[in-house]
Amino acid sequence: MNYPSTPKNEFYDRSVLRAATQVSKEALDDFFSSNGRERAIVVSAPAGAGKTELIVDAVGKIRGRKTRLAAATPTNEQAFGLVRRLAIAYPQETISFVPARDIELPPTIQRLPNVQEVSAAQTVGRGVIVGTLSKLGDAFARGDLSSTDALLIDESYQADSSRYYGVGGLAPIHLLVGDCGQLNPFSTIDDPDHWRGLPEDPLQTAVGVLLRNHPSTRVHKLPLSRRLDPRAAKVAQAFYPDLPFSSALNPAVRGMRLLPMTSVRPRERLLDGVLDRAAVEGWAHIELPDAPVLTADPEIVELIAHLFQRLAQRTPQVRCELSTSWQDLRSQRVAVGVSHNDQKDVLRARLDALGYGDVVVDTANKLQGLEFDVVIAWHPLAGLPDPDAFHLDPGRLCVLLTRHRHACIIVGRSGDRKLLNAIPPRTPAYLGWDPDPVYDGWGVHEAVFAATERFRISA
Amino acid sequence: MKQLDVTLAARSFVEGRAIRTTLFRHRRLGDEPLMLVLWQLGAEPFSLAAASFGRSPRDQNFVVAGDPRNRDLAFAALLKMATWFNGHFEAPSADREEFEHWGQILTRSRSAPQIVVANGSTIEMLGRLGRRLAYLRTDGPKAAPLELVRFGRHLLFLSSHARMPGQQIVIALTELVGSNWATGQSPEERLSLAALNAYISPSKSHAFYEAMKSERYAIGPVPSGEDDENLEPLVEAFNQRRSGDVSAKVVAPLLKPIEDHYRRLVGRTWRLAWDCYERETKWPEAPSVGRRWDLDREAYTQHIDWTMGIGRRRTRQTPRQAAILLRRLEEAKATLEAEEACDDALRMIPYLLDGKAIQGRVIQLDLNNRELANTRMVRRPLVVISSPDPCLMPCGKELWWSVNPDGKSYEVTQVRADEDGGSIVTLKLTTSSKSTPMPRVGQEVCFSIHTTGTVRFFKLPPTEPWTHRPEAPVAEPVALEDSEIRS
Repeated sequence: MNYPSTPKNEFYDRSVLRAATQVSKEALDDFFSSNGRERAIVVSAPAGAGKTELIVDAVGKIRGRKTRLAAATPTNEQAFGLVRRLAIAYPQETISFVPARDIELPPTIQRLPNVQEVSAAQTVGRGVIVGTLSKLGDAFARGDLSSTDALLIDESYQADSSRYYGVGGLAPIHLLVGDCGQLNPFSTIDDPDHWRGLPEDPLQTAVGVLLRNHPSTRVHKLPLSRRLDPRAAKVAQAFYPDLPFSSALNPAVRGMRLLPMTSVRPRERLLDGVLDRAAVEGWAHIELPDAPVLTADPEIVELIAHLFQRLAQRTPQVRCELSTSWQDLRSQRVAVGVSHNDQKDVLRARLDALGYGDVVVDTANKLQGLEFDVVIAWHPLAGLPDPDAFHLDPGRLCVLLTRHRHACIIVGRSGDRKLLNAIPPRTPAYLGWDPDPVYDGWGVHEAVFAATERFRISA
Repeated sequence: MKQLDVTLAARSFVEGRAIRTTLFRHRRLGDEPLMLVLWQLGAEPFSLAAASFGRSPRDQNFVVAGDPRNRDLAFAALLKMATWFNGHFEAPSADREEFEHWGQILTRSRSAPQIVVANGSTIEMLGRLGRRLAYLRTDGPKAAPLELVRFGRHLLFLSSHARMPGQQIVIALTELVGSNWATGQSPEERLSLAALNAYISPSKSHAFYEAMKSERYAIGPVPSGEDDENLEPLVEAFNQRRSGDVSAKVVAPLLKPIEDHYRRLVGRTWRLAWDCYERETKWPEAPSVGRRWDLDREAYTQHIDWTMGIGRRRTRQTPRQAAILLRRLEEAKATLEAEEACDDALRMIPYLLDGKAIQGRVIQLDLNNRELANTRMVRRPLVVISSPDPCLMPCGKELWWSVNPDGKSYEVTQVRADEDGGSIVTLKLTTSSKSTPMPRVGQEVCFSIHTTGTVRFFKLPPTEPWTHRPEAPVAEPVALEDSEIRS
């Protein structure tokens, strides 16, 4: 993968770029040295490292050798994004999208001249086939989709073993790319840990089952984030204990500014303080007083709504390595990340009523892989009586705090950090499975609280 | 904690009684279930120390092992239970009916046995006993009785079938009762059937104090520390007096003190379990129970046919089997939640509060509404409802009419607040088919996220891909029984 060089070199940390380019090169060299043997290459990366770009780059090189490939993602939305990126990057190449029943590409992607929606049976002889793991696996199992020479999987830490099973036999060579800090595959069943530690566990990640069965698989680690600037990367490092990385950017390349405003109202002065700190520092952590609350805490809903109103009043502008002049912050580039659908629904209705229909509101699961300029993160522990495995999941916090390019405002309650002063909840142990997401999450939450301590503002 | 759970727990505490949270009973409860009450030693989870079993409160059979750490004594007690259990468990499979499945004519038992236990821990113990018994050798120097092995295979089936949401072959009373009653107790306190029942049973004093008194008693299978301390000298004396002899002739006369100890413990749970069971049978059965009972009968029939034929059970699933089971469990859970909510207005309340359902009166119907779909105008009927509740649903949300949850979905197209704090919600049917049932103007309706429509499973390749096969072959395990003999 080649990163931008002149004339914007002054924006980037060259040593970080060099290290990442070297890792990408080694990964692809490794990929092409398989000589037809069954094998896989894993590329593990932090949030915003340009993983999809690596996939796009790999597709170009694979097609340069006239080799047929399939590219798969866990979700339809990710597949749509990949189709668009590939179609734009390789206008001479036909990108064949295989949709599941009742699924179709968004019109803007459908209209791209080199994109075609086809049934699996129509993919014979086509060079680039894209679909979800479930759809491609199903088509392969039914005999509608023939084998390809290579399989590329994006967001492979989000893909579970059962879906990987479907496409495992599709090609002899696999390239799995993913973010090892994000949410693991999940299930709605009551006892998802039933198979934990066993090789047949359908909920282990695609990377997990591959490394378990093929421990000699090479894992390449991309040591950079292009989305997170140095201020954000410093906090986000807590989510990647085994993957040291740096921001690709030099300090102060990105900026956010707000129209100065004064107010005599304490509430507005508080909100101004939060927004100013986020604009200057890249982070703000506002805490309401501790209180026993419901999941869809109405006070937090109102606080977030007021933050949006005040943000809009102060006409925010941003600049970055891609646009050095100040640009208005568009509402589509702002998101609220939450942990529960209840929270999402209440917030969605409230923001719609205020006229912020363009602002994205979604759960951490749905925000994986997306990027915004400003993110308001509803802290997973906000107002909880006891921390549990779901809310301590380090992947959930990681997603919420690594979607932004300019600023992240964390919203919680003052009792949240006190939860970690208590005794951690009891966790079961599983033979053959060492990770403990609850204890890992406990440690990650502590580290993030410490790292964001100086951005804390009490409401 | 959800708002409704908090409110009901608080109300239950204030009123000093439990509050029923369903209009129906969402599980089939037969006339003559197989009630099992099991007890283990505190540190011996794979052995049965004592058990009661029977098909009515008066039909109480009782066995104790003496010292269940001794294999012969443990198996002797288990064999008595196995002989009784196998007969009753297998009997329904003799009476079959035919049914069509994807064009094939298959048979299934007209009924299935129903096993009732006090709590989820007892189901876990059934699974542990199954693991111990199902793979025993029936030949060689330590041959186990065939009856015992078959018993183990039935227990393994019950343990795995118990995971299926909505199944009704194994009923854990804490789960059955707990899902039907709200009490002012913590989730941990509600795990004690005695405490839960004390909150529900009418009494003169506040239910909280009744429950507090009751939760002191162990319900099994895990004993209280005090009970095991009382047992220890009895077992030591028993072992001294039998001097290593395991024959029934020597052991039987020595069991009396241990039997007396367990009779008190097991008897208490026996009465409690039957009381809880009989109270729940008085509630009317929900409409969807029959469909799930059909699935139970099919699962039971398949198990019996396999056990009586080939009989072997895998100790572990293949990756493919685990993947398929995961999808089935997810699907069964979603269907169960949908069926219970659509059957039972009280079960729908949490979804109404969470903004996942909306109820109200139909005030307008436009059956001839048309809109452009791709290149042509198609019929898309509109239903406008007036709800007394505020509606927090975003436009575009997909909902199903609760009286036709397996039909076509509706899409929320407009939400307006009315002057009384309620809402006017417009829903659009997503099909032009005139055969789809529609509500009438003036009718009270509920639309929710719940659908019972069939979901198409993604197929998996029949052969294991290279990614899911180990590079090096896995070493064959050593049989436990063999390793015991060698040592």
